[in-house]
Amino acid sequence: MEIQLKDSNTSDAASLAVHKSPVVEFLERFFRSNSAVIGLVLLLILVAAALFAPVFAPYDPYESNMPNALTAPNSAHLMGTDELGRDIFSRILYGARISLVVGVQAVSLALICGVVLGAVAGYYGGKVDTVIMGFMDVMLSFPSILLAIAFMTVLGRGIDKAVIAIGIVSIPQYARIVRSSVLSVKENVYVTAARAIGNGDGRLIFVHILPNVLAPIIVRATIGISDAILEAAALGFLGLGVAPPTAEWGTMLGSGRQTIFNAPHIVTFPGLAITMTVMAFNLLGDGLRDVLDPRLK
Amino acid sequence: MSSRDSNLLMVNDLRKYFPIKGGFFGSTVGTVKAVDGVSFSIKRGETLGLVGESGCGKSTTGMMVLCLLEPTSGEILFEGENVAQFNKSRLKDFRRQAQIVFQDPYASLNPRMSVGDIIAEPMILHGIAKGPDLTKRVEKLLRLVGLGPHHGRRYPHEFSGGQRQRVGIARALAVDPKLIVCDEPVSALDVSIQSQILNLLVELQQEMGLTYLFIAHGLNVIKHISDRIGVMYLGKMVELAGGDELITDPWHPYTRTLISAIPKPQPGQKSNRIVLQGDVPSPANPPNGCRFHTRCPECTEICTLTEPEFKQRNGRFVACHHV
Repeated sequence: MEIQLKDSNTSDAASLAVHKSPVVEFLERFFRSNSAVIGLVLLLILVAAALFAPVFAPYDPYESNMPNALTAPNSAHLMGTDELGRDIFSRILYGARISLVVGVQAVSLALICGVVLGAVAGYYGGKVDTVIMGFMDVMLSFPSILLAIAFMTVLGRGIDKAVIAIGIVSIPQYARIVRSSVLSVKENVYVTAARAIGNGDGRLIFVHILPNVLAPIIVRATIGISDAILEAAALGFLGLGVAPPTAEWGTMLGSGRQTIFNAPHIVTFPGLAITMTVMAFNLLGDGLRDVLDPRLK
Repeated sequence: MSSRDSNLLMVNDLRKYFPIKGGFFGSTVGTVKAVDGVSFSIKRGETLGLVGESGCGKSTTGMMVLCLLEPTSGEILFEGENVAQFNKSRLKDFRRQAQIVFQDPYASLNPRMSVGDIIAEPMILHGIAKGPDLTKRVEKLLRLVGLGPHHGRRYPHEFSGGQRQRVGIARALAVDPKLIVCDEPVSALDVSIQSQILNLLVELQQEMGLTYLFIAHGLNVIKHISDRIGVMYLGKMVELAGGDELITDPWHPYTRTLISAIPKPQPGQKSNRIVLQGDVPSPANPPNGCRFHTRCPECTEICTLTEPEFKQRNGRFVACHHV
């Protein structure tokens, strides 16, 4: 007994020295990753722009001012005005709200469905797996934007419909990642151990397997938001997304394309906004991949 | 049910064949006979050692005993009941009575759960305790296995191998089981830690009246703690006898080679180490006749032709033509 006590005491001291809560450890590693930090900063700027749009915006984004239409950027209109004389800078600030909301909501929808489908397919395997993943492969065989257009024609226009269309279209990506991660994690001895103490399938999947496949899911979801924003913009550009006059970046691009040669600023700035948002999420996602990868620890 | 001295566990002619998938359409091109007709019984409070080299089917046997792997054929009787016929609720009840300690303490603990949660989980699942009572029980279990209550808040990666194995043992003990399958519980640990864990297991057995199925790949680990020892080779049991009998008077040639492999305590002591030639044959294509004949130093013609029966003699079992 004495030896045992000594053993646990000495290793106590050793483990106290390295004892850090997982959150602190994550934050430390996060702030050491350049791309993650840059992505986060860009994202914070965007979120601030979206939240405080009414404060920052110099004009009402919906107020047209025909005499002032298509003015190039100047001191009064930081990014110029569009074909109806609306201030583009104000519209971009308000547009950030829509893009972020569409991105986050569409990914949440895809994530919930994708995680459940992927986890069930990976855990049970066999016929269940074949049926679910076969269906996912069929969905993946269409270009996602084409599929989203098809959904939009059925559902009709509108921001919520765009969220649903984009969400459904991106389910297979999540289902695939979750399935492959579950396949590898479920072979771990601790999953067998959890079964041995009497866990049912549901608890095995949600308590013991899924928390251990979180890292790749978080990374994919972060990058997925940028995909969703791009798709929402594409739908808007094609006139299928958010209906005008709502300030949405893709719609702004689409309605500005007739005047692209005499007033290039009208498409430049919404385009830059989309690029910056997509880049922010991609950098954050890349950074998180490095931070969360246990092999790099 | 039956009287106190009856068998807690009986295993009859247990078999597990794994199909080998191959070809273009995943057709079965062969079977690996991981366990091929193993029978034994364990009395209450007894430790049965199961020994054999890697791949002989001893762990597979342990998994089947605990319903973690479905046998191809054969029966497993726990307190006289066939575990294969358990329904969902009866199986959950069985999980409360039969537990397992795994070989690799680094892989057997969920890295996302604190040690306290790992030990509490079985008690929550089986409705044994909750609230302050649960906390108290977790602390008691931690102390029982030689850890402190403050360890409960930590995560597995903060512990050494020996400490993790203590956590694994505490988890198995949480449901107050009757049978514990110890699947090579010390082979992943440092030699200095091995004896601590073995002593802990022995103490716990005496205190709580546990029954062990103790799996190991060498006799040196289990000879001290087993009442009886079963020796497995290539999916079959070749000898089963009382621990002392088996060590002092081994009947099967394979048992003799295992005994000769036990390290000698004195450096100068003469060792008659029997070194086997060749490798274990593939369990997908086991040799005809006696499975050990390809490596047996005492092989004769009959060994290559007919498979020896696993027969009883003087209260012990052996499968060899030359006994």
